[in-house]
Amino acid sequence: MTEPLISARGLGKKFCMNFRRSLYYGMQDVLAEVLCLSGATERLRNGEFWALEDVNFDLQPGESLGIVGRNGAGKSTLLKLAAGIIKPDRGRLAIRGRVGALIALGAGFNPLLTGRENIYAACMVYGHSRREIDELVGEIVDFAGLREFIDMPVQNYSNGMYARLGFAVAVQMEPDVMLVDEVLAVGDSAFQRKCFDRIYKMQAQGTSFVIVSHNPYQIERLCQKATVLDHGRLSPLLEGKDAVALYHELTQADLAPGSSTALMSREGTHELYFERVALEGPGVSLDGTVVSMGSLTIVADIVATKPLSNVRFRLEVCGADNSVVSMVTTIGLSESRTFDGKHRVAFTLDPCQLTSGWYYLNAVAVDRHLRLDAWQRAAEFKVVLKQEAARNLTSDNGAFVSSGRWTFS
Amino acid sequence: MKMKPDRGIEGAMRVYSAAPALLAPGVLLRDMVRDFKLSIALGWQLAARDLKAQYRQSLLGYLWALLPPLLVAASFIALKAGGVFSAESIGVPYGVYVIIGTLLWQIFADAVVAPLRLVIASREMLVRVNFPREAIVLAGLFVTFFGALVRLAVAVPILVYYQVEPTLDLLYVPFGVLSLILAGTCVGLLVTPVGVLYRDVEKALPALLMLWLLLTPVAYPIATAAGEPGWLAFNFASPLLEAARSALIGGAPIAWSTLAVVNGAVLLALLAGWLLLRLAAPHLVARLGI
Repeated sequence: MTEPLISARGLGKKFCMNFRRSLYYGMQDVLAEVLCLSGATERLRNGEFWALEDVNFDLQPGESLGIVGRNGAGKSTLLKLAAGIIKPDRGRLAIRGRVGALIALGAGFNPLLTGRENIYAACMVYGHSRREIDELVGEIVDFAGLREFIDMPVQNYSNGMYARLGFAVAVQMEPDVMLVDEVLAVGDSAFQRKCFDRIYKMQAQGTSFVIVSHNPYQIERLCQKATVLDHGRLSPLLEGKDAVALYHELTQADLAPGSSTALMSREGTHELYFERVALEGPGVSLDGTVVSMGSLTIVADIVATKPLSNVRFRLEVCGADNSVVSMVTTIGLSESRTFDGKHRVAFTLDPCQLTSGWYYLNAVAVDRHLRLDAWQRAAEFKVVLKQEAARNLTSDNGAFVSSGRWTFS
Repeated sequence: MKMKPDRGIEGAMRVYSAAPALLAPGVLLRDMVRDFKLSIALGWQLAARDLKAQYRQSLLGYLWALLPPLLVAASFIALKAGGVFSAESIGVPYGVYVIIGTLLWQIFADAVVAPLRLVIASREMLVRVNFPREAIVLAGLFVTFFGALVRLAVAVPILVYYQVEPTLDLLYVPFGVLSLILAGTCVGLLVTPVGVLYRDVEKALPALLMLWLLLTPVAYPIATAAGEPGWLAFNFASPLLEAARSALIGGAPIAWSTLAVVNGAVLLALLAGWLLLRLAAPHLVARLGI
């Protein structure tokens, strides 16, 4: 076992919500530091809480760690501790090698200066020498794709251009550890792809990454290991997909149950409305967990307040990243029917080929082009993979579980 | 793209803990020396950036380094001409005395405000990038040096106009200006930690500097009724300013022994200020925002 690249033991950092009080505590902390009062930071003062508490992890060289968490979970604080920008209040963090940080793109750009002038200043802040920058500047400009704008003041840049320049500058470092904070969602999709490619390349060259994000899918793509930071506490390190599932279980608790079920808050005329959307089938257990590759029926109980024909229904299965995974409609099937009073509409997925993870359902009913009822998040469910021998034929990664067969000849 | 196919982990291990940095003086000293070396080029770059940005959006540009002190000098000349006060004991023409005095004072005042001004201007960078914090202070020094050069360049035609005879004391001028700048930086450094947390300091500094100007022999020699300087003897800006001015235009003889004491104290306080900034930085940044 090699020595870890980063090792955190019992790491803690306090935070104070009240700004004035926080400034006063800042004065106290400076004084304690100057007077060498060790242990002065251990105790919580009035109005303080632990923004990070008892954080422990080890990262081996070459590994990449993803940390998912909601806004305010302490992700940025953890990265700033690792970058040495702020000091822990408890515990210790040891880090070996050169550390690069992508904590904010374009931090320290001066709006009045041109892109080129800012490249020089920013690269020096990241620790390059002038000679190195002379060599790098062309590559940075090309990577950012800003050749024609580079001698314009950056205050005239669009947000995307600004962030692209910031990213291009920051990835010129060749660190042993790169700390990345929510900065990968910049630019258009072509640029994002470029960013990912760059990160893969750096990983291939041996750079370890610590990436924090509230987007678990990004983490899953970039990191072998992942963990969830919640209210300042870090879960044990997990394999990517397990961490994503854990994250969704935590965020699930946050979604106010039934908030969207109120008919009044739903879009539509409600001449016809959904009363209940639920899952049925042999693979559905009581807690709403669905076993993949079994049959799954989505049942919608509807009420029509008056006789209606020309009605169409649509069901959308959405992944936890809000992308529509699958959509089914009744076009050509339901228009000729007349609905009056209570009815039941159902669609059976046979088999359900969803990969494991969290999903939700949207149910929509329209009358020609008039929206009758649109129920977002009408039901939520979690898919788990059936444990069986044939399971290893198909991977749980990707968008859906394939039901096919191998042949060898 | 340079490829480093088979690289080892370079650099020493860094340990961050809650323990006060002063408890490991060896590490602290080593880091301070290392960061100081790294800071010189970076400070230079930040200073160039600050200067460009300061003057790019202004019509008069670098003239702003001159206008305020010259206006102050003009008002003192007008006051003296109106007989509001007299300054008979100075031994040189009053015009050159007060113009050089205000130019030198402005150099000192610039040095006082520079550290806090640049730290506040670099807030975003401080919160997000771990770079040697010394670079900001050095950038402040470089910006002040630049202002000093502009002002000294303007001083030359003024000296010629007043037909000031050059003496050997001129050799002291660069050191005199340097010690004014270092003394000012010292004051600036020591108020920076509080100033970062409380904007009151930033607001109070110009007013305090104006008061300080009046208590320093910038526009008139300071002498109390009893001839004793009293508590004004603690105004360390006085000997520094008077010495630099005497070196330029003559007049009162330079008090070398006082200068040595003051400069020694300035150097010590400068080290203390540096140490203070270093110790305070992570705590200040933690309060500046996440």
